[in-house]
Amino acid sequence: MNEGNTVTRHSSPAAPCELRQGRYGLFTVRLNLLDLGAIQAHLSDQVASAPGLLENAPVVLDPSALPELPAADQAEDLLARLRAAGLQPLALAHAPDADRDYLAQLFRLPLVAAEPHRRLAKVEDPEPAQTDAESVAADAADAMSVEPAAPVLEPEHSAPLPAAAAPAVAPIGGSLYVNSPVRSGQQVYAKGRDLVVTAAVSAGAELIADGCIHVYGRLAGKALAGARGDEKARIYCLNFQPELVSIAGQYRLIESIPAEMRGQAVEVLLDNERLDIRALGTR
Amino acid sequence: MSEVIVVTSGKGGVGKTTSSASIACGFARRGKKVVVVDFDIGLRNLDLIMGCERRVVYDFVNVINNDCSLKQALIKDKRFDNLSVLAASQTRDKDALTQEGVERVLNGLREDFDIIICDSPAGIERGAHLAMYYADRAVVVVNPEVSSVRDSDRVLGLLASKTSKAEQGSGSISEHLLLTRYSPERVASGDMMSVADVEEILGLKVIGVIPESQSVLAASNAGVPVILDEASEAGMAYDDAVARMCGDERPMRFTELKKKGLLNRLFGGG
Ligand SMILES: Nc1ncnc2c1ncn2[C@@H]1O[C@H](COP(=O)(O)OP(=O)(O)O)[C@@H](O)[C@H]1O
Ligand SMILES: [Mg+2]
Repeated sequence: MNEGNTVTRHSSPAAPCELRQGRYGLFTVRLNLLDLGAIQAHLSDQVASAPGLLENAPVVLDPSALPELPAADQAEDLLARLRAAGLQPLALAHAPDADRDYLAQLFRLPLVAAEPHRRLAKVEDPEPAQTDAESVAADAADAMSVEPAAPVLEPEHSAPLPAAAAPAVAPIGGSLYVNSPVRSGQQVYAKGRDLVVTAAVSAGAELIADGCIHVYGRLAGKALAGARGDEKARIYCLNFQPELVSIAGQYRLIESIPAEMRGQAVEVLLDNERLDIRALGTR
Repeated sequence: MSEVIVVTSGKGGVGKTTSSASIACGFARRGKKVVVVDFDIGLRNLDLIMGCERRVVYDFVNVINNDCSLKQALIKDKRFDNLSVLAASQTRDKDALTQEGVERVLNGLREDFDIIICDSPAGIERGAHLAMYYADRAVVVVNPEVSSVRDSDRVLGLLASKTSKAEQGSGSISEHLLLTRYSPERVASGDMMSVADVEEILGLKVIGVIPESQSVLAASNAGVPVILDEASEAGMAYDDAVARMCGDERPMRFTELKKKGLLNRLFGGG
């Protein structure tokens, strides 16, 4: 079980839905079949298997693979079941087609751009104009170091960025420094650069960087380096007790992190597409 | 200069109202002019804990709506004439508190009081947000259990980013951690987190540790804030906490397991 999992965990085709982690570490519930009971059971299982990570996790609902459109009462029932399973539906992902507005009204959720469904999809560098929303998010993060509770979502007009594509993002000047604690529910995103946190990162907090992540306080939350696919990104940490670490989409949950690494000074890196956690200073 | 202190937690039932009432009395006993404001619209019970429920005529929302003056709504405490209570409204209308209204009332109170204590409702929604928004200081009430600690962590994050001070960049509000319902026995048996555990996870030192105590319930029923029960450990612990908030040094009490006497040990009494 020490293998790094990939971001996209493919469930068996029979699964009524799939839970996958996408952009900004946010989870997406992709619906395959409108079997409400089975969806709830499937998601409850998933939450139970990784409560630290999934309990009360905000999720994006992606109904685009459904063979038929849900009716109003089904939509409501579905949202209730997602909540009953311990997830917090936050937004709706859908391609811009005729069904989209109907679905948005039906679920009464804000729309976000659908994520590409293939990992490592090859895409061109997104045009700057299309990343407006993202730079706003990053600016806000710069200004106050931490983003409040709600994770940053891109509005629908921005081009979908692949979860783990590799447009070599050149670091634009320096690192993002955070000198106050990053607490549960907060998210910090260092766009196109490294992130340096000198304080503690609580369970339920999330660090995301397109470059490397350095944490000098206790890391009890999630850290996702190389968020736009830089496989050379690394995570350095003096007191390692994370809920999740990820580099360029390869991630490990707390359950698969060797116990002897807990509380240690470590370096996390990708070695042949495999996520490796090493004690710092052993080379 | 006046100071607005919010008593908050994220989670319900951890002891915010109990603490607000006792802290208010503690400051009043030290000679400060104090008012304690119930922000828990629809679920008011600060007036009960303060023992003034029969004298509530006007409430916070009446003042916001200009149904009455601030003076008319303030209830003077019978024990300390430098202590007043502003009761919450019983309305079910969650939008009864407006940001503009809260600011206006707090500014009015700042003119007459040294210390304004805001007893926050549970949650991180509107009411709780407004209770903390104008604060200069915060007392984050936490119980020694995982979910309460997690909620407090969240609230500490909001205090650092979602208050008037943070938004205006005019300094940060000072944060105190108050650990309540603490039971050294249950810590020793491993059912409860220790002071050190909580401090480590939240990265903050506690300003006080209030033991779990029967006298809290008795005090609530009598309408006498437990800090005034000078024979109770919870009362003494609240007094220590207020003293520390005023800058005094006091050793931590009631956090260690009591040594059982020989007879107790022989006969298993406790
Ligand atoms: N130290 C304590 N020991 C025993 N019971 C307590 C203690 N502190 C609070 N309580 C009890 O816990 C319950 C919730 O307290 P309250 O102050 O109303 O919490 P909150 O305002 O956070 O919802 C009440 O019944 C109160 O009597
Ligand atoms: Mg209360």
